[in-house]
Amino acid sequence: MLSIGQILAFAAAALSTLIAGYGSAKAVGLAGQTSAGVSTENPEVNSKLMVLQILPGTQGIYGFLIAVIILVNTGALSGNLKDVDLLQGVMLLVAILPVVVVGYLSAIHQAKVASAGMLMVGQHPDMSGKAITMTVMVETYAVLALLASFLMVNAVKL
Amino acid sequence: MALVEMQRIYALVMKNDQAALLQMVQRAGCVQITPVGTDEAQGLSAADQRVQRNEEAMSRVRWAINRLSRYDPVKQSMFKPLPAVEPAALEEEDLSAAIAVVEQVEELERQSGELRGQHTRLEQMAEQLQPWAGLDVPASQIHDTATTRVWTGHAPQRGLNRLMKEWAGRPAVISVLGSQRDSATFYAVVHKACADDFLSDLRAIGYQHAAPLLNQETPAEQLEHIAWEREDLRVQEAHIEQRMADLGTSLHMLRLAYENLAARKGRLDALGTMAHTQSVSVLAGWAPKAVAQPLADAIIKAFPGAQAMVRDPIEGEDPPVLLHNHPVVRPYEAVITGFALPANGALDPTAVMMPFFAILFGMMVSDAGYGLVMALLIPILVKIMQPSEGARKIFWIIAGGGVSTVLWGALYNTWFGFGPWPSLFDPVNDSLPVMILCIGVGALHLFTGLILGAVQNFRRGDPFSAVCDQFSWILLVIGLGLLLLPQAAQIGKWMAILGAGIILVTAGRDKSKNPIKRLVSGFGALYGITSWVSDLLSYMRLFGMGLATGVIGMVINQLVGMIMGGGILGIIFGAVVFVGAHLFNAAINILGAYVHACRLQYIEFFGKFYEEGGKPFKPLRFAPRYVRLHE
Repeated sequence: MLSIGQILAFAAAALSTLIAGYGSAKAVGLAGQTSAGVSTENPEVNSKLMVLQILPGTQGIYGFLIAVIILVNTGALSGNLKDVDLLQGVMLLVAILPVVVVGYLSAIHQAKVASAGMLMVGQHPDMSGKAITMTVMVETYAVLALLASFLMVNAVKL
Repeated sequence: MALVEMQRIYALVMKNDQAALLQMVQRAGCVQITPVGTDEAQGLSAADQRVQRNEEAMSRVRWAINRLSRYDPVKQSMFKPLPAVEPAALEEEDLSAAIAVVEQVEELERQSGELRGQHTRLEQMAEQLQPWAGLDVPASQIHDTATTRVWTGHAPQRGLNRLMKEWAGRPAVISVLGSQRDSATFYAVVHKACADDFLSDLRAIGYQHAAPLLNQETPAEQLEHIAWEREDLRVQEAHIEQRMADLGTSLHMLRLAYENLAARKGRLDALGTMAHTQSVSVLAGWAPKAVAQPLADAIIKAFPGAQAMVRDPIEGEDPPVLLHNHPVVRPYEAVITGFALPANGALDPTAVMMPFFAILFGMMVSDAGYGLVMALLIPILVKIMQPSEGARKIFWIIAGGGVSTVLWGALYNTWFGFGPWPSLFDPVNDSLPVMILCIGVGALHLFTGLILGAVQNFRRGDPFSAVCDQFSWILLVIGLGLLLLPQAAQIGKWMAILGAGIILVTAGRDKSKNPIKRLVSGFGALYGITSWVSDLLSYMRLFGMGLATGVIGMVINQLVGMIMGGGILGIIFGAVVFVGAHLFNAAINILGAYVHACRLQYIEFFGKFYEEGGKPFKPLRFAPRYVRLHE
């Protein structure tokens, strides 16, 4: 018999993969379109653009990571689901907020910087290092959000 | 770890020797040619024309190479090194054989274009004839007679059926030739007496006039002829493609020709930069100190009547910047050039940065299994692929990162996602020690940056600045750190107060003589402590990235464990998933670790001391793209 807490824990795992992943998919897609456009003009920089394109993909991985940790902590992966009471379930839902919200938004913003960087690389191929650095700047906040979510999820002792 | 010292080199030769001089300089590959001086420099109009002709030839050859590349008898592959040639192969005078091939390719392409045009024309004709294919008389025979009128065209199928039913039994023949979707093609022969009625009925159902092209043959016969002609065109096209394919054997020659033209372009550009009079040419440029004098001697020896001299840079000159490091450190120059070169007279931080780069990289990949694969596989890949210099540097950086990854992975106890032994650091279950470790590494990194800044100040003979701008911060930050430990809080307090005091009093020393204004500047500088907090927190990414690798590796193993449970097929499939998924995880994390390690250098580390702004050293040399030079 499942408890509401367990369902909330699953909802937390589902949402963290879902929303962060959706943000990253959208972001990588956006960057991919720019990459295709710039490559048409200047095919030689394509491989440099691919690095820029996958950079906003990490937020989805962070969301997935938090989901896995929730599943590990609730015992879902080992097959014997632990008991999760209502408040713990709610705590898990709160704990995923950073990785979900910051993950989603930062992925989109990162894709915009990546796209602008691609235009720059298309004109000046030797500036790809700078374009990558600019794009990675945005990622910092996704990493911080991941850490915050991770610490909170781990703080829910089951 | 200093920058290469540059010297100014001048050479004056007789005008007939200018080409030979440039060839010699290009072969030596160590002089960046710069304008001699603003007033003496005269552009060469003859050279301009040669430059233009050369560029045109380059773009033609390049086009031909691209056109023929699919017929390359030697299959290109990422893992195959470029063909190696002697430098002399890039100095051919006579490229007529290659140009002849280019002309052939151009001629074949022109013919092929013509054939494509004919093809399109035939296709359009066939398309127009297709609806009339059912007509069994030539179009020229369809016309009004004394008693009948003829209509041809398209109309909706349903209306036409109705019309045929209504006109059954009246003096009219309506024949449907074929239909496409809802629209039918028809012809109708109607007695003149009821022609007007018929026309109005026809209009009512939405008739559109159309007629087959006038011709003595029936549409079916015409279509057959078109099919023959098209077949003939196809044979001719295949023939042309075959001749193109045969030219594929000349690709190597074309590529060499391109390299020759590119080398020639370098020399022609240099020629435009040199100064010329009626009888002599003057070259000026920058060369590394170690080779400048020997080169000048060689020039005097090689050319009769030549003069050459070398001097140190004078005040106000900004020589180009070239990094020179021990071979082990050299790959990491790529990290520096990816950001910006240090300014003249500044430090080359490559050697100091190298261990930190490897450490940060290793902490982020953090899987000893991946590290082993990187450290072992990449030297082999370099051996097989013989990559270009730039790519080779990146390869070695990753291999070095692999070694560091093995160490960190062992410490974190992660081997391909498995954790075989209990470990000191367990990011998932006991994260606090790992986080402290990350911040600790970050603090070490930042302090090293400050110390480099201090070294820079000492070298400039300005130890006072080193105390005010660097040591004060080290005191303050360490002091604040010690405050957290109860035993050392007392010492920490005084260190922090001393550091803060120095900053407060001295930070504004260059801005104003007014002590109040200086104090205000000092407070402003002290506010910079907030950037230390964010800089240190930035190293938390080491923890986050490491965690990501480890947890995903663990998930992969759990999935594979489930698949492996399914008998012999499960084991095979599981093995494939294991390799593929770990490769994917490694690739994503290596990329992430690389870019984040770069970022920590560029923003956090360089922010503490780096003086950028050097212009890269661009000597006149061979820089082939399709071949590589024998070493």
